[in-house]
Formats: sequence, structure tokens, C-alpha cells
Amino acid sequence: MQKIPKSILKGAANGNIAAFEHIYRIAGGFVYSIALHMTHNNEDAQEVTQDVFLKIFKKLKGFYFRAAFKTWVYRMTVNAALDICRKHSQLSRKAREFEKMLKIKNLSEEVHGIIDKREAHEHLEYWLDLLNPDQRVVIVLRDIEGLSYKEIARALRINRNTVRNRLRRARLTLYAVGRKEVILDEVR
Amino acid sequence: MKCAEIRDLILVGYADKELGRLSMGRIKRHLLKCKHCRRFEVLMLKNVVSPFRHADPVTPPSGVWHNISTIIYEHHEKAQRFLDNIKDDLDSIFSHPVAVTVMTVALVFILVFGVILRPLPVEMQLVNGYLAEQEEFLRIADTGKEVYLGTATEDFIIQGNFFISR
Repeated sequence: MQKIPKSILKGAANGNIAAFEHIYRIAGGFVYSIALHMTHNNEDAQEVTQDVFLKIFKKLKGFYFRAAFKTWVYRMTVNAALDICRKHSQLSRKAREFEKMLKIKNLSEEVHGIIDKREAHEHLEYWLDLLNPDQRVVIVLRDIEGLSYKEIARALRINRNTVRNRLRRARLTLYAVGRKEVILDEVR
Repeated sequence: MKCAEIRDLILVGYADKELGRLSMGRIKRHLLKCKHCRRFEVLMLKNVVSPFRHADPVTPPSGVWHNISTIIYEHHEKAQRFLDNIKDDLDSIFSHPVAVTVMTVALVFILVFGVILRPLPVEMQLVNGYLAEQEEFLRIADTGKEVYLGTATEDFIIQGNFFISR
């Protein structure tokens, strides 16, 4: 996420809608991207984005620039996305299991095929769905959004070793599944 | 370093360039001579890291900002309407001279009788009386004369069969 000038933040804190729109144009993509990769649902991602920006607008005056704005937004986004994930995980676990089964079958059939953007996105969702929310958020922040370990630790309020451990477990899971697919492919 | 340690560092640290120069160098040297670790690295980067790093950036649909700005404007308007209503009410009250006079008199009355001339509470009156008695008693006791002033302290001593002897 690009750095936002303090003057813009102050303007938005004083209720200037144009300044706030400027912030949205810079941070909106990031917030929406995390929400979408965490929830795998466009409507949920839009809801998270909307909630996060309304919270930012409401709380910007009390923000006082104590923490980095970026970290503050990361934290709010991740918390909002995790809330949605937890809310939905209980409701749709069974439906997702079924969907996953179908996707596993499809994926091994089309490993060498040329896949368009939509399919690529679906594959990404499939990979992320294999992880629990804590691991998923670390992968999204590190590999999709490009945050450093330090930034992830700050955003999630955990120490750097925990970031490393979650990343390790997540990558091992993905590696194991990926290998299985390659072996399946080689057998054919 | 053993292969297991190298692979662990490839998973976390090496793939993200979050290792020191020394460790990075060691891993690179190991990879040059170990084909199993090299295969692990290639598969890891290809299957685990690369798909996410090359994911297409997503942007929120235009309707999201529209919703956010609409909610903010509505909230602003609601707050403004509330303030305007209060202002209108006050304007309508203060537009009548009789109402203004009555309110001013009531305000002065509240100020004078409620704040300035407010009587002391009973407890404060009792404390003040007791302190005045003590002050008088000590003033006379200082002169060395035996005088009965009828204070609560003297009564207490007399009732308890205590005698002041000189």
C-alpha cells in the first residue's frame, strides 16, 4: 500500500470527504483484496471493505497518528475478514467440503491446461481454502500483499516467530498438496 | 547444515529474502551441490509461492465507494438535521420577548437561591457548632480558671465521673 500523506489523513479526520476518497483510492484495493482472499466471496469482501472504511472515517479523529496508518488499516481489515470467516465457517463447512471434493477432481484433470484468469483465481481460492484462517491470513499478507514478517507481526499483534511458524505450516500444507498433484500427474 | 535444516529455511526466510547474507550464501552453496534440495526449492517456489505472488491485483467494484460515501453523507445529514432542529426550537423560543423575560428571571432565581444563598446541610451545621464550642473551651482553659461552659466535652467528662483537678 502506497504511503498516505499526513495532510490527507488530517483532512479526512476533519470530515473532508474528498480527502477520505483519496485514502480509499490508495487503500481500497488492499482492503478488498485481503477480504476477498480471506472470505472467497465477493459480497462478503465488499461488506468487509465498507465496514473497514466506515470505521476508519469514524475513528480517524481519535487515531492521533500514534501507530502507522498502514498497520492500523491492516489490523482492522484482517480482524473484520477473520470475523466473517469464523461466522461463515460454521454455516458452510459442509458445503465447502463438497465443493473441495469437486475441485480436487477437476484440478488434477487440468494441470497442464491453459487456464484463464477466472480459473486462476479459483485455483488460488482452492489453495487458500486448504488452510485455516490464521495460516491463510499470513499467506495473503506475505505472498499476495508482499508485507514483511515485521509488518505482518505488527498487523496481527503476534511475534515474528509466530509469523514464521504459521507461514511454515501453511507452506508445508500447500507443498504437500502440490506434490500430490504432481505425482498424480506423473502417474497418468 | 543438514538437508532438513536447509529445506526449513527455504520454506521460511529464504523464499522471502528474510535471512542474513551469511545464511543466504550457505543455502545457495548447498543448493549447488544437492539436487534433492534444489528440486524441493523449485517445487516450493513453483507450487506454493509463485501462484500467490503472481495473482492478478483485485480492485473493489465501483459500487463500494458509492455505498460508503452515501452512508457518510446520510450520517452527516442526520447529524446536521438534528442540530438544525435544536437551533430552530431555540430560535422559536427566543423570538417571544415574554418567554425570554421569564427564562431570564428563572435563571437568576436559580442562581441566587440555588447556588449563592443555598443553606448549609445539617451535617455541616453540626460540625461548625462543635468546632466553635471547642474553640471557646480551649480559649478559656488557657486562662487556668475553672469555668463550666456547658460544652459537650465537659458533659462527657462529668457523666463519666472524671474530675478536673488543679
